[in-house]
Amino acid sequence: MIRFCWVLVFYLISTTGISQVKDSSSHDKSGSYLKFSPTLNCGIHVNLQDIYIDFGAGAFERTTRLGAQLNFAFRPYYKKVQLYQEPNIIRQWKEKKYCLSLDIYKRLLEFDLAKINASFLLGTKTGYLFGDYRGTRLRPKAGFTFNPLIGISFDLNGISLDLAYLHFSDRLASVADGRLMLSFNVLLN
Amino acid sequence: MKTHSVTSCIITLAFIVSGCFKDDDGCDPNRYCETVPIDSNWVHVNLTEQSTGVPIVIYNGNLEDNKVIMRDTLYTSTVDYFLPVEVVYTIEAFYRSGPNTIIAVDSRKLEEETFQNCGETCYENSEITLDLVLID
Repeated sequence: MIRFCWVLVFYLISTTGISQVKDSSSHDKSGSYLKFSPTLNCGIHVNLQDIYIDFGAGAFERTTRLGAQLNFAFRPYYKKVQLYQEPNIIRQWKEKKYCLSLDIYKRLLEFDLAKINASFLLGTKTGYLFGDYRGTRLRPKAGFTFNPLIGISFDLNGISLDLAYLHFSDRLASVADGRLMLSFNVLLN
Repeated sequence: MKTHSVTSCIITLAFIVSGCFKDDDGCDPNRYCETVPIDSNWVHVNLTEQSTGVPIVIYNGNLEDNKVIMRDTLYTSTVDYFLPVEVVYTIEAFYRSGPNTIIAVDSRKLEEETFQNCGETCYENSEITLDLVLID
């Protein structure tokens, strides 16, 4: 799965590079080819066992329809988790988690869906996952995480509504990795 | 249209952020004000009942501080303790589950909450609940 996603990311990056070369030859010399727009976003990623609130800011390039944003996601409550401490001893902690990530996404193949301009969405949420437990100085195992996403993006007059499947591993056996991601992305100019 | 979207986002954010600040300057003579400081309050403990009893340990601060306040064995699913405020309470509950022992932990600070009304400091009742119920 992860290998497939890396291939996808490299494919996206390489196709973006080619399209830039082709288009720049036909572009007028005075204007800048890339059209960056700052973005703000907020949303959630959720499944039946867990929910994270997600917000951030970044930029969206309108010609290549490629975007990147720095995001901060967090679980807004303490979730009970059980972990083996020793072979016959299980600890039940109340855990909060946070994820600081760089999200890279691309919108592909525009189409109309119920008279709304939509496009496919492909991206990754790569970042650092960390957290804490109540009542102790111990912390959940922190580390880098790579989370691919695929879905549909609806253009609602300057605000994009992104609905996607996110494969987000938060290193808990009791929580499924598959999540529904719902995100509002505002283009600021 | 785009300007409207951005404006509505900013207004929504402003509303959300405004909730983070307390308005302590008001004066409502009809509002009940407890002027005597509350030095202790209730700590409610919820747990999963076991017929053999559930041993618990109550700590002042984190587990690592190892400041044990009391030990008890509980035979009901809820119990209340009247304890001093301004202390972080951490409770461990020890459950038997076949060959395993499950140690549930929860922790919160029992705070002394105050607000200002007509120039007086009023003390609020702020009990806490520690949830040591096992995951289903």
